[in-house]
Amino acid sequence: MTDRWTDRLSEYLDGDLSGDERIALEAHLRECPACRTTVDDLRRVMTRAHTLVDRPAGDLWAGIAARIGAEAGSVVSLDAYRTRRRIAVTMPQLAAAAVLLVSLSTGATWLALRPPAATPVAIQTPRPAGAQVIQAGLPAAAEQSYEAAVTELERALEAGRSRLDPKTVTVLERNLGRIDAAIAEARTALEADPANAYLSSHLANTMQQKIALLQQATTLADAAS
Amino acid sequence: MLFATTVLVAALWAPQATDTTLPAVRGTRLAVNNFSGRITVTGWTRNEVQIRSTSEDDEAELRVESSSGEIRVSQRMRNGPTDMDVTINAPAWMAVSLQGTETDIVVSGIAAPIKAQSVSGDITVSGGADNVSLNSVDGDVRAEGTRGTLDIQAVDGDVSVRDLTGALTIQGVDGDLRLESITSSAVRVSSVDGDVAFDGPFSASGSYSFKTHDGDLTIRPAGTVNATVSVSTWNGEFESSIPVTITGSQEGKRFSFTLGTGSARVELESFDGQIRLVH
Repeated sequence: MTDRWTDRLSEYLDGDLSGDERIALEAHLRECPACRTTVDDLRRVMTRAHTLVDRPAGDLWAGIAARIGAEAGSVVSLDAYRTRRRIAVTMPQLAAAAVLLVSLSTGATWLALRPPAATPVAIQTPRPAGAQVIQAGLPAAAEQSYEAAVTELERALEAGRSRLDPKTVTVLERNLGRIDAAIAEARTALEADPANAYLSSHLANTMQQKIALLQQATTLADAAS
Repeated sequence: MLFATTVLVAALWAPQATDTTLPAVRGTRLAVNNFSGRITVTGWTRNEVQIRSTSEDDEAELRVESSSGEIRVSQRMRNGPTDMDVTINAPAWMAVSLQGTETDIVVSGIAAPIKAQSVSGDITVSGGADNVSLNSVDGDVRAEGTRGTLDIQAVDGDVSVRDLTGALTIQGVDGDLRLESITSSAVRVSSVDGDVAFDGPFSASGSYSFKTHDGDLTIRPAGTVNATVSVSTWNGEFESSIPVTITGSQEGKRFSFTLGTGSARVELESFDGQIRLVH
């Protein structure tokens, strides 16, 4: 769902592309529904960005939720968190969020299509105290979607964990830990430099890698059943 | 015609050692699933598939099923999975799909799509065409001489690609990625904790993306270089053996430059590592 233009949509909306690049991208948009949808979403987010705090407008979230397969009603209210932190959302963050949302959309489809685990057991993944505090990173909608996808995949993985070789589980956990550490470092850097387009993109990419690894692990657990 | 419309299913059971040869019409695919041990597939010129297996387990059994479109080979796990070596000679035109859990996979001489997945084991492929997909959780992945799209996912192991002509996508977590003699107009490589080394020409309208979080990038473009290069890092540094004129520098961490006509697009990103452009 990503192509050579995906990372440049924000530059397009910012008017930072050269004339030739803009013409090429607009030609691409006419042929690429995914990028067109992302640009449309970004435009809508930009329109609201001046008033955006921690949560996108309900109508926007409904569209995103539909695309990622989440229930609109499942959005956790962030009112309780607003008093803790208010984060300025930059254009690069929005662009990175859009890329991540496209990725999560693919992930949600994958989740919906994968065969059910042989013994589905819902195990709540323990979270450290305060883990739900919104951290520096991408806009809240993307973070929420990401958290929802991770939680769902971790639940599926937990259900199939006993079917995996302990050595494999160790390898997976060690590498998920590496990705989590990378995400934490990217968040810390982004906190220091919120307008850094590279950091936003890097954070989104690393989050995508975690989703991909969780998908891979869950597939392995399913295959072992 | 009769073969195409009639499904023939033959299940062959043989303890310890199997040696079976089946005819194969063009277009037939091969699918192998071996829980533990080794899968070796070698391409040959005959329109036949020869399947041999050995195991030290007296109870080990291999199941071979043949239909009009596919030959399927798998362990019969009547007494649970066991260690088995499966060696197959297959027509070079045959697409193969190989899967294992604690299994090393070796493929050579196949000029067709290859899909190989192992949870814990090395994957080594020489050849492959059209679409080659290699996936290992805990093991090294090596590919050489592939002609077509190569897609690699590796979690905990090194990746080596040599002499590729075609699009390349690699997603790694912890392991070094060594890419040599790559002729491609589309390269997308990302890793979390591994170094990335690349050498190959940048094609005129090609797109090349190399991203790592905590590794070094060493990029050696071959021949004349015409590329617009963007460099991004947070804690890393950039050095180039090619004289470059930097534009858009932001504290030396995000900048770009143009080499020659600038026709190819190259992204070099390392959050915490060194980025080297060597020519």
